[in-house]
Amino acid sequence: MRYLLVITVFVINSVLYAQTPSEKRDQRLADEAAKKSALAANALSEKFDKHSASIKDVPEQFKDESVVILFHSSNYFIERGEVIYFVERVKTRVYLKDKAAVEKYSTYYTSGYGETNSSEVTIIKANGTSRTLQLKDGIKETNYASVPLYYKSSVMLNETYYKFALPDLEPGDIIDFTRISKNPMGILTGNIPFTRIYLASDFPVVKTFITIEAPTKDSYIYIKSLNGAPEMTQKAGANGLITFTLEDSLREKVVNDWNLPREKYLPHVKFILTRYTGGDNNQVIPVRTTDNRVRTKLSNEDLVKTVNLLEGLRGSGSAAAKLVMAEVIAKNPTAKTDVNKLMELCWYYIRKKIINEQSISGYEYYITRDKYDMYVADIFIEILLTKKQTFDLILSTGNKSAGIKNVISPLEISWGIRWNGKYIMYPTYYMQFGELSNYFCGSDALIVNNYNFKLKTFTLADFVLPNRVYTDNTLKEEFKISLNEDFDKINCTRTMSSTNGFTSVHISDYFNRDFNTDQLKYINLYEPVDSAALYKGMNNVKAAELKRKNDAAEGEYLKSVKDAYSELVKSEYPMMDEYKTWKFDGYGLTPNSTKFSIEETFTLNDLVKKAGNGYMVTIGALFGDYDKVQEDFRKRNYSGALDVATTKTATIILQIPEGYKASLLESANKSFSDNFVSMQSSLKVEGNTVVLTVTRDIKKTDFTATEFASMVKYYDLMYEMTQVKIVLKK
Amino acid sequence: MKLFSYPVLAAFLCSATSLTAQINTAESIKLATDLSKQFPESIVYQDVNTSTIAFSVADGKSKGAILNIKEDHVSEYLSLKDNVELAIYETYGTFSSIDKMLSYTKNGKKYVLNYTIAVDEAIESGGIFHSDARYKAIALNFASKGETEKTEITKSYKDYKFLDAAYFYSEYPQKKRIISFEIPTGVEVDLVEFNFEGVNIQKTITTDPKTLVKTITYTLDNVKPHLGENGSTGTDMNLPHIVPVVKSYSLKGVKTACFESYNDFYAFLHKLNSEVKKDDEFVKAQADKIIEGKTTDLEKIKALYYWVQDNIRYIAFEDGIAGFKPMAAKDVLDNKYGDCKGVANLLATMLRLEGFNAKFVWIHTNHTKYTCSLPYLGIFNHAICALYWNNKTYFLDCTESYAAFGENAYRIQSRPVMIEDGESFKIETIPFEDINSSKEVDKITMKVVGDKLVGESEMTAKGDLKNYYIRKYHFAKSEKKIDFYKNYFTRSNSNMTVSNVKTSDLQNREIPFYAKYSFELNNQVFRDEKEMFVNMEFDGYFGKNSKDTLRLTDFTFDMIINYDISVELTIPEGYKVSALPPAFKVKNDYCSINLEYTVVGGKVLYKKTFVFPTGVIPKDKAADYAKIQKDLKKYYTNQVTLTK
Repeated sequence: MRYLLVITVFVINSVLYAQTPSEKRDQRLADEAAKKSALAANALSEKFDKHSASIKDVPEQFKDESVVILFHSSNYFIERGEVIYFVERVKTRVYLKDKAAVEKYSTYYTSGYGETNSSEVTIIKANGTSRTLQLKDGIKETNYASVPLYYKSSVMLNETYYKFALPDLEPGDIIDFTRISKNPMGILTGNIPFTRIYLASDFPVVKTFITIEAPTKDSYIYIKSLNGAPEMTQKAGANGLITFTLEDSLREKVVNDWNLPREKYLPHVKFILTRYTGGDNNQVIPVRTTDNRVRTKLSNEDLVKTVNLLEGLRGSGSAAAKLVMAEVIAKNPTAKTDVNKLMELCWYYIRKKIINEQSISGYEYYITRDKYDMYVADIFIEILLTKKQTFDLILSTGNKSAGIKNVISPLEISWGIRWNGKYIMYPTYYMQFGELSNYFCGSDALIVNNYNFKLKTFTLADFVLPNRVYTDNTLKEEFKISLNEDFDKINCTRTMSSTNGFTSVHISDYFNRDFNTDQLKYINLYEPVDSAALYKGMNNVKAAELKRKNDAAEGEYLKSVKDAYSELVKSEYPMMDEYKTWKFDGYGLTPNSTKFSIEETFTLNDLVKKAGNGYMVTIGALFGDYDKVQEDFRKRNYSGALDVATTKTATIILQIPEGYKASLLESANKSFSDNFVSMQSSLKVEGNTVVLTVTRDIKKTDFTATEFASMVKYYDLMYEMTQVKIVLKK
Repeated sequence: MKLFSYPVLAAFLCSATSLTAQINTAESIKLATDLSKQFPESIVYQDVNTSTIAFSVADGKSKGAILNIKEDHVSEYLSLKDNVELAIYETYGTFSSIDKMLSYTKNGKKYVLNYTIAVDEAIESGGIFHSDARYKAIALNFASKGETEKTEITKSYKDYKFLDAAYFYSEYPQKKRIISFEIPTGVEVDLVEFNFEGVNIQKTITTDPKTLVKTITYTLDNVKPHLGENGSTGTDMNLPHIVPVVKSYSLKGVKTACFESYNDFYAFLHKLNSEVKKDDEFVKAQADKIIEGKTTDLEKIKALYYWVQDNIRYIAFEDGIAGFKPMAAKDVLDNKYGDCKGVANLLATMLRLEGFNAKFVWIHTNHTKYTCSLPYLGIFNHAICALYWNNKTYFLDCTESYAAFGENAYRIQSRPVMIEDGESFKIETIPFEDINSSKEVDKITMKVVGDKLVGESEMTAKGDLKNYYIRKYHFAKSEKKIDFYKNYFTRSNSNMTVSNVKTSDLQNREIPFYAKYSFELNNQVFRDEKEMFVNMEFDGYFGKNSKDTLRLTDFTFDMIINYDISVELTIPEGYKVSALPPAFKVKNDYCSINLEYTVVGGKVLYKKTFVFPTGVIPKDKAADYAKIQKDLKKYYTNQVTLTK
């Protein structure tokens, strides 16, 4: 029995460890695939990485940096086989100086799993030895947002990533990683994600190398270097293949990305490859001419084709336009014959839908997000066409971009119209009819005058969208404050009102049901609820329950609104004790109330303290929670752009308690002005009040790295203002 | 076992509770209204919350007897508000599974099944690279107040060792919490009770005459909700619960021993450690390199200890048995990463191979009621190394960066530990250190210059604080290191500008951390014609408007608090002190705080001491401590008044 057992065990073990013929075949195929893959990888390396071999040392100017990108190569090419792929190959070599760098790069991410993983990592030690890792069977990363950008593909979006803990990593090491993403090009469309490659990032880069292979026999390439990025050189190859190459060296890291619109100011290359063989999703299908297939911007013909993309949305747009007009006219009969009224009310109707994230009509199912502004523009066009109105078509890219003249794809373009002097771009929540949002103010654009769908050829003219001066975008705050009976809290009534571009800051923060009611009232779609009729016809039990729910919902709603506003104020004033009341005088959303205006009352702790026989009050704290400017923030090496230029006035009026008089500090009177920022403060006693006023102007949105010093000075001064104190003595 | 829930979750909230009939009643609405007043923060009330843990033994034929453990949870939820959505979830992993997860809506006397699909997701836990922990969750939707939904969840355990403890509290208030254990003859289970003191838990034991299954039932009525509390010492420290320990099970007279005694528990852990692959030659070679040039034992020990601290990253894979079995020493060396078990094993191995008496140690950090006599895997959450040398036992925690040899972090002080010693084990306790071993002393001198305070600060920090200051520096980016402490001290006070920073040798973890710097303080001097007001306070320690007044668990700091701060202001020429703030003194079992202003010669001396000797504030003192914090915050607004 025991003998039999031994043999059985032996046989079983043999079965477990020996391979079957099919397993052997699978193993052979896997080995062959691995060999092929390695050969292919070597070939690519031979082709693209010849620059990298010599780059191992950190240049003197970067020697104190925690992380230095020694070499970064982005290579794009077409791989033809059973499926045509557009391939992105990225090789990066990173020097890790310290523990912080090791911690940052300790986890490596790659898309693909097991055999589909085309990522390779080599760790090069300080003594020159290296080790290439076989990465298989990573841990699936469930939080896409946690994958660092430098591991994400530009050509394949929303991939699944797997993470690996990199072994044997220590300060002084270099990591060399290569990853490949393949986007299967549609046979008909060749739809490739629009790609931007930034040369400046969070880390300094010693050498960047970019290659793009464009098969211009059957494709067009639109390609552009911007903001000081070197121009791509071209080299023609066989069969219409053109190779574009860019080399960049010793690029400093981005220091301070506060309000940095990357597309507008960072050096980068953007490109898109398009095929002409068929229909589109949002491609420009170039005109088949014999001209150059390499383009650095959309030609006029390209733009004409871009504009003609509107045709594809006319079905949905016109159906939506009919529905919107019908709704508006049903409640506003005069709009039927008054086209100004009609357009205005339709505009507010559509804006309300957009603010509340509702669909405008039932015809939007097939409209992709990137085409939504085109669709909205078409709705207005259809409305105007039914009223036989003429209008101009506007294309823009907004004021945070590299400009309309530098577009290479319709994906970059925002759509709008101009009619009767009014600008109708995609409605944002704080815009009035005919006004431009902050995003479009002052931006360059292209215009087609008197556009109509019958036009086959037309010229798009250069145009600049109107700007708003900073004095139009205002914020006025008035704080009436007094001490409580125990002289340990401040009672505050704050009135805040904003106009035009500044309303953008407040409306979204304070938006509630009353705002919607106000909009509905304006477009005459508001149906007041007759509470007496609400439960008519219901049995008593159901009516009672419904009434209970409605009353409870109302209570919950009011409580949630108060909690939300309380949190808002607390975020500005951490010392807030109790948020008491609020009252809107204007919502800023309709011509009935173009100004956002609110009055709030709350109490504040910690601002009053004993000072001898009197009290010291830190009245400057009412200016809000300005932090002291830290050292990192003071430096900057790229320009920036604020959302809006503004003028702000804050007045704090402290009621002097009876029997007391106030001592003031001269240093509260400050003044500073240049062409970017100005600030003026004054502190004085007026009758039985102390009045502290600060006026500050941000005169323009865009600023250079040098001008940023003014912004720093402004914040320094504002911080000082928050510390202003007065003493009350008997 | 813990039952958790999430208020409002995502995509799967599409359950088909499309009942058109009203499913609340006037009575249920009234009940919900009354309960809502009692528990204003809660969105549901658990009418019934029962857990039945049933043991059974099956004949696994060739596999022998199999112990099945099944947990059935049945809970009823009464919504206290309209439009409530929440998700109920149950965790599982390699050694357990969720076999059933259903929800029902109560309609009249019936329960109607909801066709809701449970979500199954991995649990991402900060600090752990990967674990096998997963959860299944099911959505409950209540359209109206007073509606009731029921959940039925069944969880099975594949291995008795991983059986969860059973808790009474949940995040919702409960009318009745029942935990039952059904134990047939032939299965021996110890039910170890914790934190029952002062809690009115009823216990009954019945035996079914037919099946002879013994049922032990614990009932607790009117259970308050337990929400996560910041700085908590942990639920096992304070909350009542039961740890079931399976000792053995039998089938047809054949007994299978489980954790019959603590020795069996140790044997299990020791076996896991024994199975860890050994590559002594490789490890010794590495150890030899590290101690090269060291001549004394102490030098060698320190070299090895500090090398592991400084060169091995903390990356934890807690996947199934990997959560309890250390990574091989060679693998930790190859990867230069490991978790606490891996680095403890590595250090112990390297020390042993160099001839020292070093052991692997299991420990639970900080506060727990569990002792090293309870055969339950939850009693340990950490691993370190013990070294017997020079007639003393040293505890070496490689995960404490920059801890010096001979220093123990607060989180392991006073902790009982189990030390691996071949086939047997030792239980020892890490001593609690003198509170002065972790102390910060600050000496600040300043004078009024214009409208600023200008001065110098000298600080010395020992123990955990020293480790903290040095660690922050070493893990900072290189480009930030030059001005690291300048920026660090400046950040702590927005009115301060720091310069001329000098520190102790930051490569030497064996000496206290020392820093000296010059500073200017703005906005703390106010003068008018006759008077000058100076605020000498600039760190505001522990001053806070705290709302943390009701706790179910104690609060713990990360380390012992022992600060001794003296601030000296030179009285400006031509001025004299006309008013000083009164003293602030608090002394009780958990803290001693003294703040006092005096005039000594031509200086105002502001002396502050803060001592929290145990680092813990008991839960029943939460309101008391909140008041102290509020009073401190107010106190810090005081100023010295000087007159001409």
